[in-house]
Amino acid sequence: MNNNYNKDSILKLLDPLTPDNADLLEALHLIQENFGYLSKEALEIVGEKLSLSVAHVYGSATYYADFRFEPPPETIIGWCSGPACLLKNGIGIRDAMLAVFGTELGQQLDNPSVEISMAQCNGTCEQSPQIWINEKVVGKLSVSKAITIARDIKEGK
Amino acid sequence: MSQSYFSLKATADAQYTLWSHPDNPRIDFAYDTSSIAAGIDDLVDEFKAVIKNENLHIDTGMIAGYGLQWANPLIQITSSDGTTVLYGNVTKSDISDLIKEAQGLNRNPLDITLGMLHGQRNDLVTIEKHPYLQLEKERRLLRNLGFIDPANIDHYIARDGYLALSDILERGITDEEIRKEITDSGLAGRGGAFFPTGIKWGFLSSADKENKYLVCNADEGDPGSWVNRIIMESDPHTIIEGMIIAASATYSNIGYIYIRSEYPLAIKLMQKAIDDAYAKGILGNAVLESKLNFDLRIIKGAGAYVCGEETGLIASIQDSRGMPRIKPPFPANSGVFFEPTNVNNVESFASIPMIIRNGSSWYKEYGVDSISGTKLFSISGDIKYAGIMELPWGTKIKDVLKVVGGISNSSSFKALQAGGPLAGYLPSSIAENLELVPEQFKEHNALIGSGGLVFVSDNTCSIQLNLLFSQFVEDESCGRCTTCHGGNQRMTEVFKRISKGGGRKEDMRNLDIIANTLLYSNCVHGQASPTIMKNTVDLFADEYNNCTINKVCSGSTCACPGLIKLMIVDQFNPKLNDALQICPVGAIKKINGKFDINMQDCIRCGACTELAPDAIKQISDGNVYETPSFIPRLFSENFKNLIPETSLITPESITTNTKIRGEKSLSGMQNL
Ligand SMILES: Cc1cc2nc3c(=O)[nH]c(=O)nc-3n(C[C@H](O)[C@H](O)[C@H](O)COP(=O)(O)O)c2cc1C
Ligand code: SF4
Ligand code: SF4
Ligand code: FES
Repeated sequence: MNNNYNKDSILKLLDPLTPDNADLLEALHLIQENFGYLSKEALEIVGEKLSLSVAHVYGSATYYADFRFEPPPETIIGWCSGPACLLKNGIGIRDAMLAVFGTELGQQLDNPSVEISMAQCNGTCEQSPQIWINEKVVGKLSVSKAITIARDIKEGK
Repeated sequence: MSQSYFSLKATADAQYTLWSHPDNPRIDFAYDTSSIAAGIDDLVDEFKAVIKNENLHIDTGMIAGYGLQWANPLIQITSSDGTTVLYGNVTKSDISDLIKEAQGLNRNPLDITLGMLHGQRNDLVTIEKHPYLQLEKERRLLRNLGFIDPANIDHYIARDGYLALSDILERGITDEEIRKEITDSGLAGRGGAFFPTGIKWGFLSSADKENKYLVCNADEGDPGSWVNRIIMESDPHTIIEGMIIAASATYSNIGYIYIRSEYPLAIKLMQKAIDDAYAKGILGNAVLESKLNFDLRIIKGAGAYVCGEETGLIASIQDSRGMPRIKPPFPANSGVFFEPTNVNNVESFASIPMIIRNGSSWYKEYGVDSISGTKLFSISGDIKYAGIMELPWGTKIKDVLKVVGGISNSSSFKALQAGGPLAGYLPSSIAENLELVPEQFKEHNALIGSGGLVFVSDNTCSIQLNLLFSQFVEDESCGRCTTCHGGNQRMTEVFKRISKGGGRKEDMRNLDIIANTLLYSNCVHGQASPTIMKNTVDLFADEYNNCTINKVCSGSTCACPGLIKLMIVDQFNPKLNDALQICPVGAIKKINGKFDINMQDCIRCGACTELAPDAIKQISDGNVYETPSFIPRLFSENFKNLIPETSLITPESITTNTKIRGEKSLSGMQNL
């Protein structure tokens, strides 16, 4: 990930994009992929580049679950909210992990730097119940395994 | 065959022959989202290391696996004689055996051998004989699975890919003729609404504008449905070919494929396919040297379910919040950038080339009167073998349950949740007698949707399932209609309260009012969001009343937290120590040598019963048990004081008050 969050590097990323060309989502994805999140300045630059008001850019970006507006934590635990996982006590897995960290879904913690966020089924239901740790599937879970994983992360293991 | 296609095909054929009859034996790894989840990457590294270290004359490659998802990681070995064998559930310990197989040194079937994919070997059965595939009559949409590398355009062309396109361009087949063939085939939109595709194209065709847009809807947001992903990851060019044929049948010149961001591999493979198609002159100006121009590009979604609704999709493409809008105007009049547009599902587009190549009557060989062809289904839930299948419309659901190994964990079949959060929830007594036909689902006020079939066992409480889905539709409401965002919020609150043990007799009426109110929403998201709830109240009335009125929950792995209690039934079981250790909230204590569970702290996560199943039992005895404020699914409200003293009201006493269904009056809203 690039930490050099300055106007030139953003403009370079957005170089091929043009106004009225269905490029907004692409712009937002490019910035998030490179910098981890969408900063206020980045949104302003996107607006400038695509001839959209900052309010429009911000309003659109906040509509989508994918985008973050502050730097991401080190570990993102995606919790699958889909039906196959639900049937296999996905809810118990979620609640137990949240309890280990004493947090809520989507709330970012600093120490350890972690967040449990809601994720959507992507059709690997044969692995249910599952979570993703930084996008890698951890499948065929049980609640006790999930608690152990969460405790390990909490203790920095 | 046009000149340009002829030379493409000649090159592709030569390449494909070499690939399917390789000089060295070749191990192909099935590479898709599921196999990645099953750890194929590590396996590939390991195989390659062995081959390199031992200096073996074995090649490796990638392939879209045969689709037996439950058997991932899958690999295929192709020998120089052109035979291909499929292996499943491969682990690192199988590597040496498989290398021997590839070298022809081992000719006895291994226990990981699934069957013969191509060619014949005396000791092996063909893969079509596999019990899992007994309902598949013929792979049409999946015809290239196992037979091509999805990232190789030549493989697609060698298997008659782009032949249909070349044919219509070469023979000058008119837009009208193409649309007629598609209409005659009976192809109905696979996004879930089943509108006849050929007729829909007619609307766009007649729009008189310079720029016309085709959009392929690959947003596939229904949890439990992943059939579009399978097509994109295994045969991306069929979608592109279908879109170009659609372009020539509608005079469109610009296309978008809107793919959800949850499918990074599909995005990568589609992008590769588009780049290759451009490089071969199949996309862009003068498609296959004809007069047709068609540009195609991917838009990556960003995690919003209602962007799958076509007007939401269009808004999302053109730089806005992806909120569905009121129709009319329909996309054919005003779509992307307010220009005429047609939106079709991935599977709809993928069906086009084969219909053009083989004709509409061929397509109609499978199916039923009301709908023709085959359909992809993704099957999951409490079953042994989760995966996808290509089934003719009309296949019996009870047969499907049989081939996926039945309900797992010796529990029984309780319900079928098909088609995603808007589609329905039917008890086994009905589902067992249904065929996969949209009308049959409609008869029970449910929908078949876009292809997801989730089999539910009796471990699951219907109220909890409702709570999950109502949270989903609430979360995903775009917020345009008060009925939808407020109604779904209300519905969620009611289910949360019931879960906590605060069900009231008037909830049935309240839910009914909410359902009727939701009908006044702008798009199908709001209108259909109470479908599962209505199915539950109507078809699972006993269970609903038990949780709401009698305060008894029948769920085990998934039950109403306020209606269950954990009891220690064996103080001397050593596993109780494990349970005590695992409890994430310290609700289990050992005091004076005796274990005790404090239900006021217990979040009902189930970890302790998992570890000490014989020592800790879950009971539901008609009492309401206090739940801690920290249970995310019940977050925020404390209904403790609202639970009526006399919670044991009989089901009979409530039905007389529930006659509001069907009334279009909104006056009941004030009672909420
Ligand atoms: C809330 C909502 C979500 C939808 N999601 C999808 C989707 O993910 N994929 C899809 O093809 N159609 C989806 N649809 C249906 C589309 O609006 C549209 O009917 C479909 O893409 C048309 O293609 P077809 O005619 O080929 O079926 C959705 C509809 C609604 C109301
Ligand atoms: S019904 Fe719901 S999702 Fe559809 S437009 Fe209204 S608020 Fe948005
Ligand atoms: S269900 Fe979970 S929270 Fe309750 S006692 Fe058991 S382990 Fe603890
Ligand atoms: S429901 Fe969790 S992966 Fe499908």
